Amino acid sequence: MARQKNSGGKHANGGFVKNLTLFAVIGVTVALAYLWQHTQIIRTGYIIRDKEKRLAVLKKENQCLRLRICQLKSPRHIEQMIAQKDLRLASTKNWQYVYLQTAGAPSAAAPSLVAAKGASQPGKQVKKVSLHQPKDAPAARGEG
Amino acid sequence: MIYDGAQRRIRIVFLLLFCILSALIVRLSYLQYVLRDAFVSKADNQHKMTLVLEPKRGEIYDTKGRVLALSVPTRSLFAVPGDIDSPFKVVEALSGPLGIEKGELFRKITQQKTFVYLKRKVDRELAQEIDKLKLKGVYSHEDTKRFYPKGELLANIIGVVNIDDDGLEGVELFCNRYLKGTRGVRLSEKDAAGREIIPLRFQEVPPIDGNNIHLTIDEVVQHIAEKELDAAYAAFHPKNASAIVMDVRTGDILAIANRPTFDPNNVNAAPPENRRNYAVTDFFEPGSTFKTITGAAALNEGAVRLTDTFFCENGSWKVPGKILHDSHGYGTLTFKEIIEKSSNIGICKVAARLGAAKLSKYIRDFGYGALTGITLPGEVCGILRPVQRWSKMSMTAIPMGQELTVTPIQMVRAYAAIANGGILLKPRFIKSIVTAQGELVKEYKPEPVRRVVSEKATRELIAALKGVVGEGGTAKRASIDGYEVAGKTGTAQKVGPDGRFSHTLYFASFIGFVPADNPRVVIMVCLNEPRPQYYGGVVAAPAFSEIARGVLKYLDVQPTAQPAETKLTKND
Repeated sequence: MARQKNSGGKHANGGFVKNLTLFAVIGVTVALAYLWQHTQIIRTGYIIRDKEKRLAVLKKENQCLRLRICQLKSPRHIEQMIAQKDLRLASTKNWQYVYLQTAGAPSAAAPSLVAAKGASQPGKQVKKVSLHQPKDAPAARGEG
Repeated sequence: MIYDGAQRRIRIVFLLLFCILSALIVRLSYLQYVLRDAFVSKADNQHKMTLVLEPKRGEIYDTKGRVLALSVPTRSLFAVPGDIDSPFKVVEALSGPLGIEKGELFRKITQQKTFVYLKRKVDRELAQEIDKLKLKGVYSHEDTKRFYPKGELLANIIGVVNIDDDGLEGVELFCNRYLKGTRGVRLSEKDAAGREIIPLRFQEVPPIDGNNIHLTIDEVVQHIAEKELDAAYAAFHPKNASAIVMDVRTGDILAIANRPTFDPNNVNAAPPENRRNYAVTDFFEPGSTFKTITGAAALNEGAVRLTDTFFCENGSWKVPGKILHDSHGYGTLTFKEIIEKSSNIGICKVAARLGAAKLSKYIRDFGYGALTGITLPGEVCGILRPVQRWSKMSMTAIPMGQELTVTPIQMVRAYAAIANGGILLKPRFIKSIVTAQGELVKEYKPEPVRRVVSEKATRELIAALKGVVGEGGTAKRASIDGYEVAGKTGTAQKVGPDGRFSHTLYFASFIGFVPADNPRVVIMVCLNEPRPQYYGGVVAAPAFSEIARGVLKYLDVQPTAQPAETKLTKND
């Protein structure tokens, strides 16, 4: 009986140690997993931070580009820089819009604004073209 | 004895230990309870961070969504003088790129301060170059700078902001509370290198960006107005000049131009007076342009008809206190001719039929003597005395635009009322205010104030005003091929330094609307003290004509009259 008891005790002790070891392994694994996860979170956080910084930089560059586009589209810029400086056109004087329309549908209201011959195409309805007539340009048909 | 000695020594040791422990407990308690907050704060400073999140200032757009003002990112350079090891090295490296004189820069970085700005709002590229130098004690932080991509266009109206992006003038000032936005804050933790640990962010109140302002101004119309005003300003050298274009049906201001002006991206290059918005903040005696108001009142009351005749005293008429003169000696003129030829004597006789009380009532009904309510800062209401305080001479001065002062915006509003059939409108300058996400915050709708005169009266008056631009009128230069123009010239004598009307100082103006029978826009051009010529029909009417021509074409208003064949090549 005593032997049996002893062997039972050894069994119990062995089970306890096994369980303890198992728990320890599980505990350590969970702890390592937690640490790994935490490290990954922090690491991902840094990646997000870098992306946020990049996004901010891109937004700023975008804003600077918007400013540049607005400057380039300004009528004054188009007139002074492009027309006069780059293309060497004459200074604008009179504001002119030429109305192009089909030969079959002349405008009763504004016959004088029908564009020059060949400018209109059959089937096309009134099309507004904006341009500035240079002061020294040769006489154009329509309003001067 | 030995035992007693050992006992005593043990007691002494224990006593000493007790004292030491007690001291430690006291010290620990002191640290834990008394100095706790200070140490917690120190610890927090080491691993916690508070980031202030700056909002983006709202943008300003024209009526078609074209950007007129926006904020772009820049950087501001600052120094911590205590961190600088070699001030001379810093001065040598930064003086040139920053454009700061060496002595001044040296003085800045050797001040007994913990923080000093070296230069605010510098280009990002320049800031990056300076950052690359890794000068100890020199740092930079994010900032924004207000930019006006259209330069001088609308500068006097949009205004400017100060170094802290608070509005100082114009729309920037008037709408500052909408444009500014609200700061946000982020509480987070940082690592040993001072970098934010994003997963440990524990509180964030995001910033609220400023609202965007949409104006009724049309960039193209504004450009046309400014270009033509520039031409008049260069030709006649006035002290200042203004032009306004208003939609007569809605009261929308399509353009307000002022000269002199300034570059809002380089404010300090021009004197402060160049930033004035003369069209709203300055008043003047209107002169003959005011005869239209007198005429409208008389027609509406039935005091006169277009065909009624008046003897104009051959150009000279003695009235109480003075002698009235016309520019030419006229005999008998109809009411229509009085307007066309701008007879001072004739209009005073018309006003006499109306009476002072009624004239005063109509003047006030047309909005004079009161603010128009335009959403711009600094508006003045002009000077208009109550009828009880009118003198004997008032009825021979006020009907022709003397003894009262008005602003250009008041004049434009009154003419718009005549053009649209008699309804006085509140000038609309801001169309809407929307959030950065596009949600509507506030909308300004066209606002009729009151009916001032009947449609019939305005039709008759327009017939007379058309004559001003026709043969025999005072403003033939205001005519436009293909369109009928109704308008009135004004050449008002200014009061000289001696307190009397000057014969050299004039306020010249032309105000009118087109097309005359179905008006779309009313346009006013005024020049303060032009020289050498000074007649409104000579200096202001041509600018009106050019502006109207461009605006009508741009708005796609079809011509109403066949242009004269001879005029087709006028400007070829």
